[in-house]
Amino acid sequence: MRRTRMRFALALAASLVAAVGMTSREHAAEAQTWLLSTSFSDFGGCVDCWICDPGHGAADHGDPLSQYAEGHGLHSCSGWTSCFEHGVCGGEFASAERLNALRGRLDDMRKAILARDAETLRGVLDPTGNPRIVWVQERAAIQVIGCGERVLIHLPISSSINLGELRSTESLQHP
Amino acid sequence: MATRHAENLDTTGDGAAHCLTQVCAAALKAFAVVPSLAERIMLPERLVRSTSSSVCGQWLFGVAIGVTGLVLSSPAAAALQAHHQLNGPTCVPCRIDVAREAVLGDDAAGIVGQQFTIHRDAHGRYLVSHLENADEIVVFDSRGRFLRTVGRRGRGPGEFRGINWITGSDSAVFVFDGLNQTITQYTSAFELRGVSALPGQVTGAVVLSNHIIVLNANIMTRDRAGYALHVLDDRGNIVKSLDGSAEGFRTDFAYMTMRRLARAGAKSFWSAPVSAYRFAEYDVAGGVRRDFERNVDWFKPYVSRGIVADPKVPPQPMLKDIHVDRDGLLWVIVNVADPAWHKAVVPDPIGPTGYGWNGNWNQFFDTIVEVIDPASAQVIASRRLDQCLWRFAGPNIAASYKPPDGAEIVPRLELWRLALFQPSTHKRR
Repeated sequence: MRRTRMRFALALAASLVAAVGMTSREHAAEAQTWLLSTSFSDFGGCVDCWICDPGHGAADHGDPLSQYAEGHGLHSCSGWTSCFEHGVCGGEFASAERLNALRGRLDDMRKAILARDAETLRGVLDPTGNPRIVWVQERAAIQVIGCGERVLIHLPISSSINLGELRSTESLQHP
Repeated sequence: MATRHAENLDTTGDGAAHCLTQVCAAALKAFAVVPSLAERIMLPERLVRSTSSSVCGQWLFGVAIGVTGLVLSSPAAAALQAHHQLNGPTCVPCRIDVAREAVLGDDAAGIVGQQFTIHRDAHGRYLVSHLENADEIVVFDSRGRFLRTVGRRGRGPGEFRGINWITGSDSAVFVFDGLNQTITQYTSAFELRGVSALPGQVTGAVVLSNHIIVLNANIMTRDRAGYALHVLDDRGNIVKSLDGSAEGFRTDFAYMTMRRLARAGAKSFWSAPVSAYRFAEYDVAGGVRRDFERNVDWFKPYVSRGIVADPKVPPQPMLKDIHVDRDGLLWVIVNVADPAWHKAVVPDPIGPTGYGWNGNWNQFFDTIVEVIDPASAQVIASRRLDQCLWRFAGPNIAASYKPPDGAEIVPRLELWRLALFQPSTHKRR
């Protein structure tokens, strides 16, 4: 309890310091700008590996400095070859059409977050798709979840978006 | 530095929020608050998200207005603002000496490769694993002579498929396998102590004590995704996650959650992102004790999906590793573009850009080594090397990869001892 109080006191003090220069809304908007400003149109490379199983990196000619390659095991799948081509996806994902559809959907999501457009966001959510796009209330974030329940994208949502319209899509307690 | 924390089971925040809600409900009766002003308070994530606690936030702001002046002038506020700009190099006669310590690798069982992980254990042995042979640990003595291998391919105890990090303490060795998603613990005699599960890709690890390990890892679960750092107990359980970016997390931005780690003490550590020249000292409870930033022309912060092979685009700098020496000085190695970097970019018809690398990272990158005194926020010395130092292998020893060439038929790992020469008049007291 004492620790909790201490943490809270520190959080309050930090908040006060920060409040002097910037509102929380401004801060959230600024913080997400660089990440959300980048289109998902190139989202790919290893994406089918990630969506299938990041443990099944397959190709031999990947980016040696990619997150899976820098001394991290056999994950260099960011060349032209892919998990799908190596047959480790189990047919769950990776056709070009589905990848393009996913990219479009993710860009819709990105733009909706930037525009604080809860209605569009609600339409982007796809709790039964592959990958699933869900609202996780406990993290106050939209997450894109690939097979193996791996989170590919985690985007906290600014409090300025009407969260009420997004609640209960997904829960950590009741996946 | 925007950071967030996740307790195990993520319940602490709920408890605090509930408690605060009760307090605030009563307090609101006594305070008239302008709602829009509450937005100026940046409460912790979980409180901001909660409708009830936003009411609490309004009350807190009412209180805050009265105490703002007091808090801002208090020592606590000063501590929270413990952000330092690094100056220097400040010691003109100081220099960084570099000498080759050992060479690892042979054409038999002791073969090594690029994209390696390396750890110097308490006995001075080097434990190595690399991308092309990530199912075993190759052990060399302190002079670089091959001793043995540990482990074999498989999914059982003592078996590996994708070792991506090795670290250890005086009495233990920890091996992280991204494919098996396991942590394997050995004694210093390589007797198997145990295996535990870890659902993620480890990109860095540091042992603070026999009971505390800190990981840099993408734990791609719904409750951990987006946090760069994770604190493990001695059974391999994640007890805390921290350094969660307010921006969120995208798997196509490879460097977002990648950190370089170094032990600072039994309950604290240094952490540095790879795409900016800054670092912070964390305690295992999640607090940032102090953070540092270096503003230099040759390393501007950037956002990137990773290094691209393109003969028209030089590589961005990359903070490769950090290390704390026995004097408490922080050593930093940064890879920067070699003046002739484009010679390492070669046509590759199967690469995404039509180009790839010739495998010689020493041709692609130089390294800038710097020694920093955190106590004074000074860069003591700086030196540029022609080699591409990959990471620290042990105390003041950094490793680079040397590909086969005309003189060598097998790849080698070269180990370099880095030493700071400081005239006595410039040593710290």
